[in-house]
Amino acid sequence: MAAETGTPTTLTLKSNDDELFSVAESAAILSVTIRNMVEDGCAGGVIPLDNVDGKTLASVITYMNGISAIPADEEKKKSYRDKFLSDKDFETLADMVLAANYLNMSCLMDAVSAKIAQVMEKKSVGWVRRKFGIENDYTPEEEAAVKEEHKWTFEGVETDDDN
Amino acid sequence: MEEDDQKPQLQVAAAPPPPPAAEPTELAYIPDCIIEEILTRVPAKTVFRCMAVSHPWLSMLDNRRFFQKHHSLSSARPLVVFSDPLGGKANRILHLYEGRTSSDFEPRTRSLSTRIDFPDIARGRCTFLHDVNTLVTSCKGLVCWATHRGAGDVVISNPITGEYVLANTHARGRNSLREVASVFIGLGYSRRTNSFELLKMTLGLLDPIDFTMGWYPELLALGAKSSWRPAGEASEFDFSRKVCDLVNVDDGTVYWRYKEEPSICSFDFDRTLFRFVDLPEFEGPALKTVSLGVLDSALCVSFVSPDDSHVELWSARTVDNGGAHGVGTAWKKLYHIETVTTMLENSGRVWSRGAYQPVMYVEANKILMHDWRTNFLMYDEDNKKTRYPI
Repeated sequence: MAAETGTPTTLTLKSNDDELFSVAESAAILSVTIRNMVEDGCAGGVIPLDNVDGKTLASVITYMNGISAIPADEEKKKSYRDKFLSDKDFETLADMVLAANYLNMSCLMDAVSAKIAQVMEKKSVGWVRRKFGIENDYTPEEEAAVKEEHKWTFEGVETDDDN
Repeated sequence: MEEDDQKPQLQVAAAPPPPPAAEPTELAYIPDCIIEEILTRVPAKTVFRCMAVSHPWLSMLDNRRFFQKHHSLSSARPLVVFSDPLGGKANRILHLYEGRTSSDFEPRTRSLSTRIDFPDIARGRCTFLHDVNTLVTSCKGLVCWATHRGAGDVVISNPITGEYVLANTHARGRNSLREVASVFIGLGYSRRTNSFELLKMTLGLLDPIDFTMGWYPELLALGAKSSWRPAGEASEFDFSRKVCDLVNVDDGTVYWRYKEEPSICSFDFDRTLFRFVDLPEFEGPALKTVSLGVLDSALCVSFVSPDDSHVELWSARTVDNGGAHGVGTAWKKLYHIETVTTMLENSGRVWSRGAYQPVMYVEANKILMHDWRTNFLMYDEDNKKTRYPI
């Protein structure tokens, strides 16, 4: 990717709340969205990322730098991803999955989706509605019927305090 | 790319066209396509629970397309257990277990399993599911088994949805004249044709002129209105014997073994290629106690020593040396399980003699196995203990 000079190229990314970030081009092009812009020659100045806020973008860039520093070793990459996501809460993960989707970064998308899936595993229906912002459009009777049909799946679910 | 050095650069990059979608409220608004992406990765139990979230979620989750996607990505391999493998009425019931952590297999959480009844397909066939231990195979989440050997019926089921279809392996029409008997071998997935295929061996007329009889392999693609077609060359294989230890490996290959035979037979659905795989070099093979299984998408063999003092687990890796016949197998010894110490520490419960089939890794270094009597046990490499969980 880099030019003949051999000096690493740096890109400047701008979040939707106007924070600026410098990142090595070689790391940033993990994002297909950014790579396309670079290849189209429109990465000269600041790259505005209208769908990503500064906090999330900082995280994504940490990930870009971390993962691109690891040579082609899928196991090490996986353990880096696990560690990187281990301390993130649901809201952060939700922001990251949206950012990964917008930036078209399949490896981050897969990892964050899997992490959210893991977080959801033992959560109650109420928790899922609240966290995903889903409106319950069942009547109480309908909801009871659906729950009755899949009764076995409600065993071992974490209790939900603020439902 | 080429303007890396040109300092006065092109125009400051035009903003990429923002996606048309509306932007969030307080909660991060996650589009349905991403939610679906996430839900294909939760365990089946969570999928069914999430159907109670809302009508849109119910229609997103409760359909065949979603189930197929979920199966293809599912990291937890559904484990299907017949309630009564030795026969009787109850053997029409499958129990589906989907465990990820070893606690999922504790007796108390056993209600994790769901029952699937097969009410009408067994009607009038008291021999249904006979031989079932040797002929259940699982392929990308689909489970497949043959009814009584020779009866010709094969059941293919999606254990998560409880759907099943019945296929008959007998030839119809003109072909039936040249078919004397057939043995169903297994179900596989071919990436070449992008479909599930059934493999059977048929005994019949090879040559209508001189009336030579012999075994020949045939394939049937599921779904399409296709008919059995010849599949590869298998003249070295003797199919008159009973197939045992049939396993599917994710690379599109089915493996099986015959009793008292020092090698494994395999059929590669992608290459339509039959092949013998030599067993690894055990100390003094005692073939009656060799068993095949699948761990981590690799063929695995367990071997019980002749004096029953230990169990060895080996895994195979397919080595492609190029060319149609350049496929080899490299064996690696995974575990050496001392059954004597295990017996003492296991408060009197003894590993019974006979074969142990590795079923799956549950967590790192914990292996679910089952013995020939279909008792399940968990082997824990870290503290060398086993439990009888199911």
